[in-house]
Amino acid sequence: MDYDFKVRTSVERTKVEDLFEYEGRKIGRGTYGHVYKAKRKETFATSDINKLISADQKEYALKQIEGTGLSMSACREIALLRELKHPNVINLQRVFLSHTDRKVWLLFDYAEHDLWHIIKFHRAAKANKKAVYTPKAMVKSLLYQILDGIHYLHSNWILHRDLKPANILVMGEGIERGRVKIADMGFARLFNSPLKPLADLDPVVVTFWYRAPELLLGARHYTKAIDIWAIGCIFAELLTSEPIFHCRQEDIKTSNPYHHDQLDRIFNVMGFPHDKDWEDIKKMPEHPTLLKDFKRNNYQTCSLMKYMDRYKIKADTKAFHLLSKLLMMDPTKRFTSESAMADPYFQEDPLPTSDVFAGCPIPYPKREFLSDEEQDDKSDSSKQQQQQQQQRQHASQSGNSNHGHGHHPQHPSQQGNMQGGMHPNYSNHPGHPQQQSHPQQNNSFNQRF
Amino acid sequence: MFATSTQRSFWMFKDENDVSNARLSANIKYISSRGRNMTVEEQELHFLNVTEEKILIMSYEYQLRDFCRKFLPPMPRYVIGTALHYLKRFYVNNSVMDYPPKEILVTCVYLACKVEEFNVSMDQFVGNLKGDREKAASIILNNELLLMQQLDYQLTVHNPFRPLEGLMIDMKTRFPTFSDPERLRSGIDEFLEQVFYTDAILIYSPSQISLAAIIHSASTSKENVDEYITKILFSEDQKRLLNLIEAVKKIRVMVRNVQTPHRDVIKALEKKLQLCCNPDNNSESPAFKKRMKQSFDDEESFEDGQYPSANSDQVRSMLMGMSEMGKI
Repeated sequence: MDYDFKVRTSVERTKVEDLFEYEGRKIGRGTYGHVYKAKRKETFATSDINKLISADQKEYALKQIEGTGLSMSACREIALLRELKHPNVINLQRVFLSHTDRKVWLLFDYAEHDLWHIIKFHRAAKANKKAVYTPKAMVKSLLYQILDGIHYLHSNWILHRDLKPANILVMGEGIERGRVKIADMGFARLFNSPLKPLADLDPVVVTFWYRAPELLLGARHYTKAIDIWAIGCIFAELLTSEPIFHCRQEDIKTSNPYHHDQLDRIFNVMGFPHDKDWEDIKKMPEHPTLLKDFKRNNYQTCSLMKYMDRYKIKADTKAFHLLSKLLMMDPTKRFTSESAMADPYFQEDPLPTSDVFAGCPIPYPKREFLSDEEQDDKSDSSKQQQQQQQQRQHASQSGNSNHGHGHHPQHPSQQGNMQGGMHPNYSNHPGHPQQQSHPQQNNSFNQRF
Repeated sequence: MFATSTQRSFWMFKDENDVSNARLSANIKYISSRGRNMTVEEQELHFLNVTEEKILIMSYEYQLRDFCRKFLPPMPRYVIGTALHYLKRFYVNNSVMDYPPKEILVTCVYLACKVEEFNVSMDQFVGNLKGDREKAASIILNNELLLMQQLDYQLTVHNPFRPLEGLMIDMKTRFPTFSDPERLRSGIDEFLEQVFYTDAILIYSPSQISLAAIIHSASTSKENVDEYITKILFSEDQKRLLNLIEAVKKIRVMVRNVQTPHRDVIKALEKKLQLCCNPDNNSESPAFKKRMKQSFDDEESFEDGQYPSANSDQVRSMLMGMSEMGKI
């Protein structure tokens, strides 16, 4: 065959629209781009892919990176994903480039669920006083697999830097049923250059609710401990179905790491740290501001124990004990992924399962397709979100705020009342009394979702 | 982690022959496609052979480094290292005749900046080039996706600089009888600079290369670190030690044999390249412009203003300007 022809056909063959059906199948969108639920098209002329067609009824997530060309964050995402291989880390199957319009597409396995949707579902069920039937060990299994994935990343000297429920995917029906996949490594970076002040690169990276206190106090370096804090937050949110450090988002000043309201929220839950609990707090760049703005006495009655007790998580449980180790204020005292995985919580019945649904029916709905009109309808309510996005873009330069590949609407109005909490533990005692929602939670909670 | 990296799995060759064979097949592939109506003699006259290609690639490696050295803001050396890896990888599987090396080399640097998080905007980047900067930007954007594809999206590069720092710290702590290893620094840096002009970076692991640099620097300054290698690093693993000794020996030979290509030789080869390069991929050729124009006419939403109307003199002067900065 003519060489030129070969080249031409191989280029044609790699056109994403020729290989995959995705039109009208959008499942997510945001500043990061669009995500589609994609299936392989049936017809192929060339023999080498033929083999795949007959067997491959698999679904994929196809992410079109926003904008033309490659932002730094997109480059980083591809560079990292290409190196990674772990059952609990999302697997990049293939990259498509469209040379004519300079669009970049990333092909992943399709994950039907994510913790953002799962938690939302439980919260809604709780508001409607409906029981959700889930395996007793589900939260434990989820946490274990999150830790496993993060342990893999950390031992490869990669920090995630943006862990939050939306980035924790869970596989639906299929061979990987109920398996956690950590996604959205756009902000992740190798940190085997310990002297590089990471804070210089991306002034704001972690979503505020999941940001560790040392970051809020101006820490110059991202660490493994920062990811662990976020996992602690996610664990608490799984147990209570409320974001533990929920905070109003309006006055985010992205250029400044110091965030008064978020710190206030953390102290309201955890109490104000004693010097002996966190000796190096004095060395934090924003420590003087902290002393100026906060009074220890205001938080004297606060503790994680009290907070969790409101959700019927007792201080003498292994779950609480592990949570308190993940949410250590002093980053040097926080558990590592390794020590967390060895915690007795995981050795105690019910044991974690590799299918987090443990073979039970999956109660959560499948992802819905989004229409393009929907977006226009919401243009009013999204104004504020746009501003926030712009701020974030500005802050991160690369302009890629990231999310899991599900639909994470930036539009609050559609979400209805989410103030109820779900049943703690995801276990299913139908008669469990409904939780009081705490005072900070009001409409502003919706803002975020 | 290097052990599980794509660099180790896909970009490490067995030996120099292995690398040469890859280059040879790229060379043959190009010649048999573009020169299919020529006799073998005509082909030999018209096209670059693989040795000539190798000399040219080396001259572009020098150009790349010179460009990066003068770059503002100052560029960390691991960015340069990554860019050099990209350039080498690209031309292991492609002929310099097929894709214009001057365009590819700036694109390598641009991509390396992003992957290594050396945060410069496109404006800043092309500000370091002479000539028409808008055109330069469009050349880079135009080649970026091609480059990524040719690298098979394996963009993470393990350079020898980090293992070097580890070894230096290790020597200071576990080999205190050797006073002040920092004395070796300038010799090491010199060696590491040279090693990027060889195929050693496609054959040996970053830590082997950094160890070779330390051993080389020690031996040129009449110092001896053998005890550190044999008694401390590999005390329990004789097989690995022998492997390493063999590797270090070969890396040092490769560095010793680095010959900076002569200016006149390069000039002659450049001239030849102009005649045998692929007009379809050469932004200065009419065939390329025609093809580009066609594809843009089809696309309405094309934002990046490629070079359909590129003034070829401008493009040339921009790229030439770059090489003039070099010392070749």
